[in-house]
Amino acid sequence: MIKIEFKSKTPIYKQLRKQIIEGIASGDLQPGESMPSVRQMAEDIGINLHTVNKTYQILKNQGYLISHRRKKVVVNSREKMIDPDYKRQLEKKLRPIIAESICQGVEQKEFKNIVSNLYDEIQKEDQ
Amino acid sequence: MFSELILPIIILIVMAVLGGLAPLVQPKNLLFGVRIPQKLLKTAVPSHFKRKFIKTYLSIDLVWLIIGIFIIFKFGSGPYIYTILVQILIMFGNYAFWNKKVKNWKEEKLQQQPGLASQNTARVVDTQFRKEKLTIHNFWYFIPGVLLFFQLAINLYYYLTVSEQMVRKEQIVSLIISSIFIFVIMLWQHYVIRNAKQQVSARNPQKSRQQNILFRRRWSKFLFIILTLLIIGNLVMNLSYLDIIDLDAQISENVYMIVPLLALIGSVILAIVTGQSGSRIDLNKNEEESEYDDVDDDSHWKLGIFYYNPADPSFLVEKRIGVGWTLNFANPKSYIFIIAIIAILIITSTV
Repeated sequence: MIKIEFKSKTPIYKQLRKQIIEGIASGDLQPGESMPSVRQMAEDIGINLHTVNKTYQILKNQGYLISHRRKKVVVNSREKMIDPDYKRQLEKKLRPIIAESICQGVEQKEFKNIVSNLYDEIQKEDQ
Repeated sequence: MFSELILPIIILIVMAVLGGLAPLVQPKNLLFGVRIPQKLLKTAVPSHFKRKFIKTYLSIDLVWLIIGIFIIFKFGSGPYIYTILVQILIMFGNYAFWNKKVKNWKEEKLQQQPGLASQNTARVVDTQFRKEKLTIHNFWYFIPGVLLFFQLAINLYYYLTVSEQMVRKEQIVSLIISSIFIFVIMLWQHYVIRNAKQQVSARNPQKSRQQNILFRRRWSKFLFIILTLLIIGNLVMNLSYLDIIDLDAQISENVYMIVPLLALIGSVILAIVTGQSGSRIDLNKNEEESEYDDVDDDSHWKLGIFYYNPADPSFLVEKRIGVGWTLNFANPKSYIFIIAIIAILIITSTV
């Protein structure tokens, strides 16, 4: 399921990117599975075709999706998604969030709890 | 004489009933085409709108029914298409009136208590939706397709061999046109049901998704059966015109009444049981309602009836009031569609 908030400050193409990645992470979108066409996705959400196209393009560049024969876009295999540089990026992204959490009085244990709960929530292990 | 008036009268009555079903078939968060935020729905239950809707509709429509039936009796079945047109106008007028009323009511309530407005709104879309079986399989269309082909072939054969014996050529031509027309409608409704914009509610995505799939499947099956029966009816009539089968005049007349009746009464029952977007289907599945409301797109629904949203690339959408599908009139495809319909009407009426 993809959820788009039109009133949000986050641009729609970014929301869509996050939602598709979450779909892949949760197993809703399986490797090798074809994505809805750009037109179909744009019509169902009710947004411009270019927006969907942009998101697909970004996800293709990042290795999450791959063009398969002519126009069909499919979910890439898990191994091919992996970016060797990702862990370094993750640290960079997490650092300000952790700093902010410390200022907000979130204990280390609590922080770990939140992360582990979210991790479980997204990754529905039993499939 | 009398029996040929019964069908127009029944059609008129059933159309009137369909016009009154709106409050019954609408999804919970829609009131005459107006999106109602969860919190507003919980505090003020606007049930009086439904009662008043039925009251105004009945009082106007009963008068029209009596006039309409009188017209049909007096002038025969000829002007019955106009009685139906007036009926549709009354129905739309009533929709537009109550749409406006509820819109004003909502606006007023939200001004008094801004806290009742939706906090989070979202549009939810299921990436797996199109992979579900939304319609019957294409394979089924072979049946009416073969029947239609058979009808064309046998007429052609008779025309080429025993043309002088074909006494009812005009009626046969109109039967052929009618069958082709029905077949085209069949393919069209299949296309509509398969491609119309998906309706998954942000409030209960899993449940509404399932309901929407079942809604489409049921209408797909129902329309296929009805339209196939119409093609069979045409074929049987055609064969009797060619003197291939001997058909009792009484029987053929009855058959011609029964199928449209079945279609109309069946659609009333299906509408009530299923509801628009499948909202009345009980799934025995209690999904916890999310904190999200559906996006408020009231302003794109002119009079609550016509969808006009240039920012939405979709062409076919589910109606806001009543049951079925409608067009996004901001999409250029809609104009092509309307022009095509007008062209077909002009061509068929001149043939």
